[in-house]
Amino acid sequence: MGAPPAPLVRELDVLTVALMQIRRRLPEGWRLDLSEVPVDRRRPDAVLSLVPPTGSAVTFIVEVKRSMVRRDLPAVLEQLEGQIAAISPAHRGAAGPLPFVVSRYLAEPLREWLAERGVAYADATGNLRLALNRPALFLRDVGATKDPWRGPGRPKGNLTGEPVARVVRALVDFAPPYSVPRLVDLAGASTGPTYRVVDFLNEQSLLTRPERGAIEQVRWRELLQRWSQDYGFLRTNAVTGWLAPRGLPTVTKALTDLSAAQPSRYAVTGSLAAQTWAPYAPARAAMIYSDDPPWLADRLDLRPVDSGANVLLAAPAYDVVYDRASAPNGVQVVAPSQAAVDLMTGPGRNPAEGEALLDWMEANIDAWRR
Amino acid sequence: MPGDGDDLLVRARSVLLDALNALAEHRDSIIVIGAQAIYLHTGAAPVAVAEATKDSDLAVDVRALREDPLIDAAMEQAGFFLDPISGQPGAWMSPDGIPVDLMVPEAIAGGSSRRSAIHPPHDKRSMRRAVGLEAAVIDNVEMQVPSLSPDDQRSLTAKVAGPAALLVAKLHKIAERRETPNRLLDKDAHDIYRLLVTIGTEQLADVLVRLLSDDLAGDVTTQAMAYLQELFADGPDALGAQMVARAEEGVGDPEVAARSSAVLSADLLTAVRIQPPGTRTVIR
Repeated sequence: MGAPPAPLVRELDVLTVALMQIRRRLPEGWRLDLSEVPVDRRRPDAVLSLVPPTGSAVTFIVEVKRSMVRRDLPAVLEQLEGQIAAISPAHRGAAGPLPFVVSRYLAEPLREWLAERGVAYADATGNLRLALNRPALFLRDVGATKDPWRGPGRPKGNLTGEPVARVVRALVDFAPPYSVPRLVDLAGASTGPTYRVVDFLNEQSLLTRPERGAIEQVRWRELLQRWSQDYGFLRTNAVTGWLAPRGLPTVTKALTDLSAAQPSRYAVTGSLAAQTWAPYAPARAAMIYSDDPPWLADRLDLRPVDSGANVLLAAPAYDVVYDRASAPNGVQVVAPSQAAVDLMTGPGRNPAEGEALLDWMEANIDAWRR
Repeated sequence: MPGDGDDLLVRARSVLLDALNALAEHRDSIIVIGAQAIYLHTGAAPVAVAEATKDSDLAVDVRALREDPLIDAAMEQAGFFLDPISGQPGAWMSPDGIPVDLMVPEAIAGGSSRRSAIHPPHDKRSMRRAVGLEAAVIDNVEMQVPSLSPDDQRSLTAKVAGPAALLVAKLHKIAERRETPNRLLDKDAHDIYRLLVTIGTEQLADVLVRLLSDDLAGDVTTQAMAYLQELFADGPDALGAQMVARAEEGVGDPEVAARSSAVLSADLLTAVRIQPPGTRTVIR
């Protein structure tokens, strides 16, 4: 397919295009008009009048929806029949009124469902079916077989991968203004990917950057929320579940006892990290990044478990998780921005804790943003 | 949950101090056992379930028990009375109805009564016999037992059973009640979990090994290790571990608690088994 289809956001636009598709295929001398019919209570989306060259017109009661799935159909039909029943006999015409379903695109299963029930339909791509005995008319055509408004038509790009993680973390952690080259330095990312991420975020209005200028503003909270759609603590990193049989205080204590000169990096994230800044509720599970989870598990006396874990060890997909970590109480803790996105995408009540941490970050911006 | 539970804990401690005072002349023969003793050792354990008990349990080491004053006379003088409903020997109550149990380890309880400890001239109704308390007369330590009320400045020195002895006693209590599930209290298993989480494995194992080779406590300790295996170390589905899980429902993490109690029990049994030769062999 060439140019993307017109968006057809409003139902009226959908109806207009669908009517055009039908009119194009009507035999010589037939007309299809939008008409007014007095309705008692529930007003239908539209009323159509199909006028043959000779004889009486047929009335259709129309339901227009921008998009429809198979399970919507019974309710749609029921609604149309209710509206038809509410029309007084004086206005019913010779053979009708009849139900008519219009949508931007009707997939094949929906078309079949409607055809089996003799319900007229039309979509904006040219799929349509209209079968009448009196006046005799059979119209059927096939338009698009795939929804042209799905897939490639949506905004391009997403926020996955290491460069994105580096750039997003830097945009959140460092207060603008700064140029993109400066951002490249701050993020530790390559130039090309950084520009691509910045352009994408600019299109999404998550940051403000005049043409070729410096980044002036970052909507950091929305940016973290948007990033959390494409990043997930559990799905992005290699996470294993462990049991600390004496509970989390012993884990924290053991981490304190690890000397700074350990051969393997680690950093606490999630609830335990959030408690450093914004106490919420006692943490039920520890989430810890580690370059060598089995080594760390051994040092913390953790036991591997399939279920009932209270410690999650994550081998990070990108080592940006360690960037701007700190050790306020002798335990390495990730930066608030990392803890927030991990909580937003973590298990159990983590997402609520993530929101609480974002609230704290908003109220204490000087405490964490550089 | 603050409120009633805390209040009951405070009142129970106050009654414990009253009972220790009443039996002050027998101080060397009285050992605090049960949940209150466990809480004295475990302090702020990192578990979700709050401390809760209304009972005061006291073990009496009758081997050196003085004849004077008589236990029943001393208790009655302090206002305690025998629970008229249960009719159990040794089941005392404070004037406001808080239970205090006086119990003698079965191995030294004397006589052939089924329930009473027979140790004349003390009244046979004043003390009850109980299996599993033998370890408490061997493993105990003097501790300060303070009041929990800000209005009560009392703090008494008393013998308190050690963590290993308390573990042995609780295991016997749960095992004994296994056949009558309606008498099983999930809290008893959770008290064991509290001990296992708070007290180091090596520390418990050292004392248990000593108890296993003790003439008085060896048999009950051997039996308790078998109970520990069946009730906890067999895995998170074992009866005791499941009781721990139920106690955590709604306030903690049942699955984590069940698994932790199982893992720590298995660790403890391993530590006990690898002690140097010359110690008794643990069953299983």
